[in-house]
Amino acid sequence: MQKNARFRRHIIAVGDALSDMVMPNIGAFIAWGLMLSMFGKTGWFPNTDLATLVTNLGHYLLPIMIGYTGGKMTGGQRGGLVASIATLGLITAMQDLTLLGAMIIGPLSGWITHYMDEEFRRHVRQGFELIVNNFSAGFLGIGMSLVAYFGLAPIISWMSTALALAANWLINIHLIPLANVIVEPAKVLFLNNAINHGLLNPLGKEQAAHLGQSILFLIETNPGPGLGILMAYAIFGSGTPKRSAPAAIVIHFLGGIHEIYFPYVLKHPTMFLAVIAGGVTGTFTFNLLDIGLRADPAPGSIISILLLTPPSLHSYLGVLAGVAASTIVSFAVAAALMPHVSVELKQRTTDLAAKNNGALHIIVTGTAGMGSPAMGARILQNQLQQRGTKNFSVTTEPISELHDTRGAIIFVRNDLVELVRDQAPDAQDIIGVQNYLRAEQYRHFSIAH
Amino acid sequence: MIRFWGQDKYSERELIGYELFLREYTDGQWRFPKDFGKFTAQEFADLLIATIEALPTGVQLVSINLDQPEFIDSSYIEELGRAQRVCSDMQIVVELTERPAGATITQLIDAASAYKLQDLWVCLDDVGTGANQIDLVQAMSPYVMEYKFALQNYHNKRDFATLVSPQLQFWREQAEINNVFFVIEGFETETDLKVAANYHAEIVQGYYYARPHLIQIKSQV
Repeated sequence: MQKNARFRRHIIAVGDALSDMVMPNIGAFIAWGLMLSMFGKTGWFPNTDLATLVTNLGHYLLPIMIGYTGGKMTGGQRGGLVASIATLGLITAMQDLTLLGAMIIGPLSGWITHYMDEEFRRHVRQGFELIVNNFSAGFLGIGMSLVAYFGLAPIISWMSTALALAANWLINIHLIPLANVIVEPAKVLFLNNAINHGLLNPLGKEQAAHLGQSILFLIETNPGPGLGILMAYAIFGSGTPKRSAPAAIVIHFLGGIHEIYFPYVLKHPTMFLAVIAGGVTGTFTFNLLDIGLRADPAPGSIISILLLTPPSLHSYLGVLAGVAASTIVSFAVAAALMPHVSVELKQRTTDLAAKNNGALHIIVTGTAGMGSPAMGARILQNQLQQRGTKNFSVTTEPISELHDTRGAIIFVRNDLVELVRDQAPDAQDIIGVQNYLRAEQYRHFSIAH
Repeated sequence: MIRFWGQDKYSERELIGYELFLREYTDGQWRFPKDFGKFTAQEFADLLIATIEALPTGVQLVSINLDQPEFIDSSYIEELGRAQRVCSDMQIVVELTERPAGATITQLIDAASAYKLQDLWVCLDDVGTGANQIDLVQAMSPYVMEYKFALQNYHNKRDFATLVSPQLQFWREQAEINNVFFVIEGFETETDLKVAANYHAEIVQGYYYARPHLIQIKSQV
């Protein structure tokens, strides 16, 4: 039982880490998706030159940003730098989108950078810190890019190919709906490109050439599973996911940028069941009603899908029925799992408390670029220690990066209180201060608060 | 007429406060007062209060410089304490300059303790130069909130970067050991930024960021 619980916590931690790498970069995904829908081959205003820009955005910018974010999470700015160089090694070795690989090599590079810095800093002679810092980052970057190129890229390619073969086998034995059991998780983990480009699109084009349509174009692009998840969060969720879900629905369903719902699944891996159930239901419905599209809709918005539906009432109704069915099933499963999501959240809080030995978490925060919150955090920590207070931890991070705020006490400048309230609705208390360096509130604050 | 000129102090990218320099208007120019002793501690504090009231919101600290004789003068301790009570939302920092003037370590420690009791911060200016050497610094550390390192003292030296880095490392470590904030002043060029970047000062100031400017006050002092 304990082993199961520990395993679950590890899965949740991995999902958290993956989600934390994607979320800060969602804007880049949105830019990429929107440009694809505008200037891609099947976009609203197809343009070859701008399509190259879109390709470069997806091929280079997105993985490097994910890699940098992952490296920064574990190794700070220097970790992010090394991770960026390493990610380029991965991009060079692989033809497909390298997002999952970036999510592996990024934090790994950051961790190695942090470890090397800690181990070797004390051996550096005074006066040589700058030179050693710069050269060590360069050498680490070279090393990690070679690890990515020769080591990680072949593994990711193999995983992607294995998934494509599995999906192909299911299609060959006429179990097309079950292909979504592989496609949906692969999609959320950014492993779906081999399936798309290597299997679904080529086979789909062949089918469409003979039959005028192919169901294979709908397997991965059906927006129903993601829509169901987002609707469940919007109605039954809590905190930031609940507040951000409505906007995400618009971006996902109308904009066709499916990546927007991936963090919602990664953060709570039980949600994989919802997307799988929704995907299988949708493809089953399309198969039952003999529905397909004329070409691959890129991006997968409901608008693109309807534009590529063969012009008959039966086809339009069939597409809408399949999307609706997958949405309803995905929504129902996600809604049923939502109480487990709350349990996971509570578990995370318990884990955090356990990690802090049940200590009260105090955060002093401000906007990015402010140095006074960090000074205020030290002042508060000193005052609490001088009073003999135990069982607390004081951290500082910018408002935009607040996390693990459940049950925390947050100190922030008066004019930023509302901003923090939006960002950390689960905090125990948010205390406004006039001056981080000499707040009366520090003096009167006690752990019995 | 006397007024304070303020030089910007930054913490990361935030304008956190000002270092205030007393200037006297004579012969059509603002100059350092020839005779500091002709101003009383009360006049000094009144001007400080008026200056603080004229500063924009968001400023969190101001520092003023006192030589050893003024630093240990009980009237300054009392008047600056009054200023701190009046301007309770502003942290006032008393910078003890490095100019030796015969004050004993005991007198300096007693004065620093008195400032601390009144919630004023004490900063040791130009650590490693003049009277503010390691023995004084260590003796005063329980009553001090900042060590300030002056880059400008090394600008005229050859091998600036190689010479100043060990000093920065040493004083950064002293600040860590004694749990005080580390301030670096004297940034004038990009080289200064590159050299000092590794020493993570909580507060920085210098001509590179801004030159001192006159702070107009509303009331008559």
